[in-house]
Amino acid sequence: MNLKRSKAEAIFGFFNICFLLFLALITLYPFLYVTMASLSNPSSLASHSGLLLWPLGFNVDGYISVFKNPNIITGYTNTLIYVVVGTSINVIITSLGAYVLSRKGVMLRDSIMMMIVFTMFFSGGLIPNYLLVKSLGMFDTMWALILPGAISTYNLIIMRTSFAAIPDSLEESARIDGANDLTILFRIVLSLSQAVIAVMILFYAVAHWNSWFSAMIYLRDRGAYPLQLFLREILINSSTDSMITGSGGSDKEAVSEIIKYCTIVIATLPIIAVYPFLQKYFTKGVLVGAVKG
Amino acid sequence: MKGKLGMVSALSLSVVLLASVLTGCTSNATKQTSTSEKNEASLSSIPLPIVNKPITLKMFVPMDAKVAATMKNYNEIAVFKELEKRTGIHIEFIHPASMDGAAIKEQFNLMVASGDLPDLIYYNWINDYNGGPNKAIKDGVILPLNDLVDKYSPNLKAFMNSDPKANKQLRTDDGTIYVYPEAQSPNQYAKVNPNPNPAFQTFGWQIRQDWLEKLNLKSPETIDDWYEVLKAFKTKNPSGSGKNDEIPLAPKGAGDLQNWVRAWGINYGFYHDGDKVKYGPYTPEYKDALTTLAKWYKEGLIDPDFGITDAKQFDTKVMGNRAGSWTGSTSGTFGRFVQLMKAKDPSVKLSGTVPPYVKGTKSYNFNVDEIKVASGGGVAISAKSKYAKEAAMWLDYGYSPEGSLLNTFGIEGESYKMVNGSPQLLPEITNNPKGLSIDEALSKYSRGSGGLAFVMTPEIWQQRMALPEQQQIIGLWKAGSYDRTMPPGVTPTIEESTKMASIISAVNTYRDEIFSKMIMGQVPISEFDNYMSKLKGMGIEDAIKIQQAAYDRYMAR
Amino acid sequence: MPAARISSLKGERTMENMTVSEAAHARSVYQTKKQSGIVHRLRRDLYKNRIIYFMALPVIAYYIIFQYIPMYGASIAFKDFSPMKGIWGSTWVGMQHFTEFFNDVYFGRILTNTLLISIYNIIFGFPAPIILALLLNEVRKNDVFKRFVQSVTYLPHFISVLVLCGLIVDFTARNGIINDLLAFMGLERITMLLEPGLFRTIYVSSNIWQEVGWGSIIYLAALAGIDQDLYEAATIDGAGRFKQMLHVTLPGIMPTIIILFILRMGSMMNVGFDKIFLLYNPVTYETSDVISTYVYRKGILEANYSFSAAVGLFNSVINFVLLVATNKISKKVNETSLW
Repeated sequence: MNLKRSKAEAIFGFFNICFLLFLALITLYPFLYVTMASLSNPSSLASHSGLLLWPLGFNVDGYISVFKNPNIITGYTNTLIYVVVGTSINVIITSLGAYVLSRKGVMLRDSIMMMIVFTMFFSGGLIPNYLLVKSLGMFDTMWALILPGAISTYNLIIMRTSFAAIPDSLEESARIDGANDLTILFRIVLSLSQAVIAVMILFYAVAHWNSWFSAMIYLRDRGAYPLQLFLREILINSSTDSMITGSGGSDKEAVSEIIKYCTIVIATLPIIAVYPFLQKYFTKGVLVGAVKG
Repeated sequence: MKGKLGMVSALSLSVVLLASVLTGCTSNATKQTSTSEKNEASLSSIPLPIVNKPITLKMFVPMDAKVAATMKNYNEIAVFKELEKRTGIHIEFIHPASMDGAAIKEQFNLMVASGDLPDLIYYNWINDYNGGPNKAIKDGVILPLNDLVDKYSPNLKAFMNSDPKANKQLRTDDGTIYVYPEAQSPNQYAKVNPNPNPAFQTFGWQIRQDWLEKLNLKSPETIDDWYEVLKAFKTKNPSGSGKNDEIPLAPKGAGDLQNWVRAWGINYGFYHDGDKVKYGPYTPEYKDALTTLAKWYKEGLIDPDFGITDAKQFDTKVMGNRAGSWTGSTSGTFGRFVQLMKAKDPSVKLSGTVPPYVKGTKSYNFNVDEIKVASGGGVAISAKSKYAKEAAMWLDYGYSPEGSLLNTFGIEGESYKMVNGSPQLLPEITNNPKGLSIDEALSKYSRGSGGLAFVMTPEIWQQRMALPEQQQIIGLWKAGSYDRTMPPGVTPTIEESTKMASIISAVNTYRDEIFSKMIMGQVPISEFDNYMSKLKGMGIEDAIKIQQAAYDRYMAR
Repeated sequence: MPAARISSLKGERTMENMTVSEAAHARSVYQTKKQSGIVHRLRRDLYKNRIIYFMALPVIAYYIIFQYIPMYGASIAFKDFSPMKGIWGSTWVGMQHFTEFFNDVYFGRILTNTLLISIYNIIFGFPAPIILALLLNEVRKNDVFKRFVQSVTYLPHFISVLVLCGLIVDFTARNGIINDLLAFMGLERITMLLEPGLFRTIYVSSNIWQEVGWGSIIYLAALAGIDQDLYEAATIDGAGRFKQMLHVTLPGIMPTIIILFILRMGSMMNVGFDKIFLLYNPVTYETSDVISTYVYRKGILEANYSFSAAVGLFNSVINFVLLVATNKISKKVNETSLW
């Protein structure tokens, strides 16, 4: 029986790996396409159709052009600041909220939960928020990009679910030892929740990294624009002239296609690079078992 | 004697003086505007400088992409620097941070909602402001300009008087002027530099001239001609590849193909036949159009994938030597392909054709014609501006000959020079040493490549369209009659506009579906009567009535 | 153990999971039952949990300031919004926009399409990341491979919709890869995006393609939180891989799955605009035209802020009702729910 099972398991294991490999390859393709396109020759790319697995005529002009644009450096710096400050605030305040909402014996808990979830569905829309931000004096400052989105209710719910799954016994034994809620939160709950905190950091950081809309409506000072806003400008400009001087006779549209792909790579590479660092927190069982007892 | 007379005259003099001072005071008090001394007679020309003490006016205007490529703010453009020098008025430009249409609307709404109106606002009041320009005035966003124009805008007044069409297009149905428009005038240098094609055509039919020549065909004019030409393209291997992969008619999306109904004298939307407003897809001629196009599709003369051909695929088909004909714009499509294909293969020749027509009828053009006053778009003066008068004068300067020249061509000696009395762009623009295109280079000096609120001389179009091929096709495309084109600026009343939008959005959805499906053969042409009754059920006849009323009001302005 | 654990998630106090001190406390409360009114219970609760409520203050403040104060803006769905008059000053029109919306010729069709696409998305798209997470979890010994797959599968999430749709158009084109495959198998070539019957399939499949990796991250994190001892115990009991998956892994991440499912039901009406807009076509309107795209086309004809707000409110109400209903059902069926 054991032999039969382990043979079945081995076959399953083999097909599993094949399937996952296949999945990895097809999900890799879009990014591969974008990267290869960004390194290709403009006119070759324009007349190409079908799969793109390697650059058509290796060409880094697109990247050179983009990096020559002084806005890119400004954009990167600003975005980095917004991501770090924003994500920190996000994680702190979301953890507070998740902790509070995961405690038992708190009378108002369910009502607060309902009121919070309600806001996921009903909101005032752009204009009241805009007026609010203005009246709070946050217009044209970093805070307009960070505070209105300080908590994502979706993330809050996920974190709460995770906090609630921590065994009560730990909390109780801590209380007996005289700990109050703050201690419990910091010493116990957070240290056991590294996986979900890693997820929160990832989600919030990515959201900040990709955001451009708030910046567009709330920022006037171009020196404070995040990267994505500059990239959008570049893409919308049908002739990104400041970057392609000297290409007099060639097809501006094809060149701007290449630049589009370069900007996508430039914009997503850093955030993709973050993930492997957070990955180690998803390794199973490393932490829960260690703290048990 | 002297003493008494002296006293009487002194007394009467002082009475007169007092009276005039008093009337002067009251008449000043009743006038809303502030600084000028000429507040009774209308201006006959704009004095320069306009103000003695420099003032700042704020203007909301989306940045043209060609400018944004090199500059951060319109104030860097030479024309505005020069304008400030001449008029003494500094403009503080407020540019929305994003240039796509929806974002601009969003920012406009926010700006108004927060009450921060600048003095001047560039916006499309017909298309983008809910309720149209009438509502914008009623809502207290912008000022009705009739008075201001009458008193402080002599040049705009002259322009309007010179062309009744322009006059109508600037106003709402009740005659209120709401905007300083982007306008084009008849060629003011025509006497000095006559050109057979003074006006600009943005769009038209394009074809592989070299294929026609190879197959010994003449340029098609009627639908029957086109049928012969397309069949020949398909069967006679004009590309020389032998692969039978020619696509005789390669529309870029269904929208391109929809232009073809014009050959039957109808538009794919509203148009007018004499005084009567009609809706093209609700006419018997539409059935003929669909029948012919369906036949062409069945015989493989139209790209089977026309419905989903996007820009990139279209490029591939043209550059890949497979597309035989299409419709498109003058510079973006035609100009581009001429340059690109010549670079690859000098034997390739592109040309245009006259707008096709059914034999026995005539060729109709449904694009806007020469004297184009951009429908609904232009600079309005905000109701909250404290400098309405100065704004009116500053804007009006753009409609004067000097202002027009400055705004269109830029700075004499830097971007253009006068040759025999007519302006010619300098090599700095036409052959920019840094490799900028004409439009990009021009954008550093003037608004001749994009417009704002001034009169543009058509001279500039000829010089922007550098290629001889472009000049030639413009001539061909203008051959169509403009008699049936719906003029820009025909708008329903505020009350009717919601109903109209409701009906038309359903009608357009259905219309677009049936168009593609009947041509592709998915729905048989025999269903046409059902289609007509369904349109009727959606309320198309009410919509036509509303549009007719709007048209009548427009004509009566 | 599982029953008590689950009930403790919901804060229920039963004899099994009370400690000695709490039982004593409960008795004393019962004895001093004279003041058992709600207000007094609340006061006691506020005192007892004062630190918790104190910690909750920034969170509550956030929601009040940034979510509830601006909420008056939702009223523009019932008004004829005029930017100059502002939201307060605009005229009240009651249900006019809603009536206009419901009476539209195509209302039925766009509602059906929205719901169908959403439901297909849930049926196929919801389990996909879970399955992926479970499969990854089953990769034994080969950690490098596992991390490689994890790091790659979430990449499409970052590729903009524009690029992704360009790829989809390429693949499904008449001479694209998928058609090449069909031709190879002797079938006829079709332009897939012009077939109404194929639209939902293409849309949902490409959604899965783009989101399965990113969506699996949460489940992987949840898997990381399962007590390893349970697996050891199961192995000792003789359970093989599959039994372990059924009895340890799945129950371990079930709270996460259920909560995410409830939230998913609360986004039923949110069929994203961008992707449909880039893939649809008048020829496929009958299956592809959804509420957001129809309203968009309408908005081109008449820039009516209030109308789109009304449609948005309609969507939100349906979403909210679905969420509440799903939450209630979930509460009855098992112990996990939002409240």
